[in-house]
Amino acid sequence: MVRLARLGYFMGLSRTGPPALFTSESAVEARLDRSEWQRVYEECFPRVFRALVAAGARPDEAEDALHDAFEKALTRQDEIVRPEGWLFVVGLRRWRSHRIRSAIFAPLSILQHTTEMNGEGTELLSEMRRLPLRQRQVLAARYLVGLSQDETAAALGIARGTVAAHTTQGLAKLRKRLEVR
Amino acid sequence: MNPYERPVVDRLQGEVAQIPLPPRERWTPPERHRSRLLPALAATGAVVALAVIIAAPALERVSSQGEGVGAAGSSTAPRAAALACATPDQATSPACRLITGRVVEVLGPQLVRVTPDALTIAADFENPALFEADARTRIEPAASSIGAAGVKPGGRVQVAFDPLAPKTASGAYALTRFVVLSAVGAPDCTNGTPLMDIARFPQPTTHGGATPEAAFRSAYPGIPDFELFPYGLSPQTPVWVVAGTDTYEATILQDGTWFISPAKFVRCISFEEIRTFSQSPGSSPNPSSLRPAPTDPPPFPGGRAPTATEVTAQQVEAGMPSGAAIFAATDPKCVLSADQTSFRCALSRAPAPEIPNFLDAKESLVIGGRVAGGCLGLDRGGMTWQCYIGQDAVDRAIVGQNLLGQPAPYPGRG
Repeated sequence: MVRLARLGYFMGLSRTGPPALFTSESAVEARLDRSEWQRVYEECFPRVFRALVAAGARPDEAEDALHDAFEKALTRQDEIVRPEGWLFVVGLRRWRSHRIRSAIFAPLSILQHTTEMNGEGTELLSEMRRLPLRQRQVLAARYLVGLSQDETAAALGIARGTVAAHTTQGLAKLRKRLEVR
Repeated sequence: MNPYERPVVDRLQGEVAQIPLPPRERWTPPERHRSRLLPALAATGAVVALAVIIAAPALERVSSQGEGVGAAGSSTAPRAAALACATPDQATSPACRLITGRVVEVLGPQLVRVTPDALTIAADFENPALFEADARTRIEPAASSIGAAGVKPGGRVQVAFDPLAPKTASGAYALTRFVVLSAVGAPDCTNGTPLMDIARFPQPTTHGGATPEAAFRSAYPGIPDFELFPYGLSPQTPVWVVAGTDTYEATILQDGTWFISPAKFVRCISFEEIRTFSQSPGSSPNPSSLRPAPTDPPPFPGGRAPTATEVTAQQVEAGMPSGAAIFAATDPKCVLSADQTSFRCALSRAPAPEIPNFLDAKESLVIGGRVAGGCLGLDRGGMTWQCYIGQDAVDRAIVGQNLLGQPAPYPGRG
């Protein structure tokens, strides 16, 4: 497979550009193809944001994590093959580390683990949040972000067979829970 | 993803699409860039537009004199500058490499599902894979959209796309090229065979039309326009019927008449898969339409039929259409009963109307190619069934003792 510096390619960025593109606005403006950047941003943001929420993040956490991920993407020099997959995984890590920090510094705030979903017409999403974290991550990566098994395995750092197993088990649980309801 | 997981995924995606996004202003690029760039962009745009207006006629003349034949699809020359794969450099890129396949479904003016002929390629992507064209897609022969190209299920096409590019909002691969080799035709798979989803099966007493055309006109008098595509040269080979976006299959009955059923081309399937299906028919969405050569499946473990606790709901769900043709394309969902002696199964679609009343109807259940139990109809419409496994099915007189454990390569009828 041909590997491309995908995000940089879309944004019209050089792979050998300055280390931190946002440190200098002139550098950004000089190198950034605005329409391409906006297209990637607008294509990826809704899908990855919703995947993070489905994986268990609160909307505000998902938004923060995703913005962090986008910022990190812009400062990268190496290749990003699937921006949505990369953003999803980096967003997941940001969200998890934020959760851990929140738990350490403000233990009670973790109790406010609520979503802004009202439950109306979102039964399956609620059930998905009861799955183990890894199954949520895999299902979100596969079916909400749109990654293949191989891409999911590479993004999450697990074996392809593990992805398949989590996918099957997660979907089976969701289906059974739906039937019980 | 198997057919039983698809509804869960579809519903999950539907629910996730309802998650509200943050306010738009929080996830669009900062305004300060726009305000600073706008005047400059506007001025640059004006200059470029002026230059294009002045230079376009001259450039067009130069390009028409340049390389003779030029890129493929020269009839699209007026659009060429905007089209993907237009220049020789682009045309040799991986994103412009053409893959041959058959159209499975045309979902919209720009959205099409295609099964690649080369099943090694198919294995790398979804099979069939969803493709979407846009204004940059090079459609050949030139057309404004895939729909306008007149391609129908079964048609032979070539597609080119960048597998690494982000998928479209529809979850499709973005097409760079879409070449129509034959807009319509019977599904045919170069290195395999078509997998068909047949909606109806003939009854033992069914008498069809004298010809495929007569059978179709008799079954669907409201559809005057349709095309017939025999699968082969023999007068008895099945015939693929295309009427608008709907497709049907005509098959010859034992009495020499023709029977018509709505039919969907699911995908191309390799011979290796067929062998797998013949060993475990339950894993096929519709193994009856494949008609692999019957082979004796392995006996049940331990030499006896399983009990309810030894099979999974998925096996029962797959075992229903494997056991009875009326369950084809009904998408059963089964749950083990609380006492763990049977499965309660609900169908997503009504079974084929083989009999007027399905209450207390009895159908066999086939797991691993052998009769493993039977199902009892719980309502007149046939939407709910209680399936008993092994000896339980015999004790309830759903299947005979002699039938239990026997090979059942094809779904039963009647």
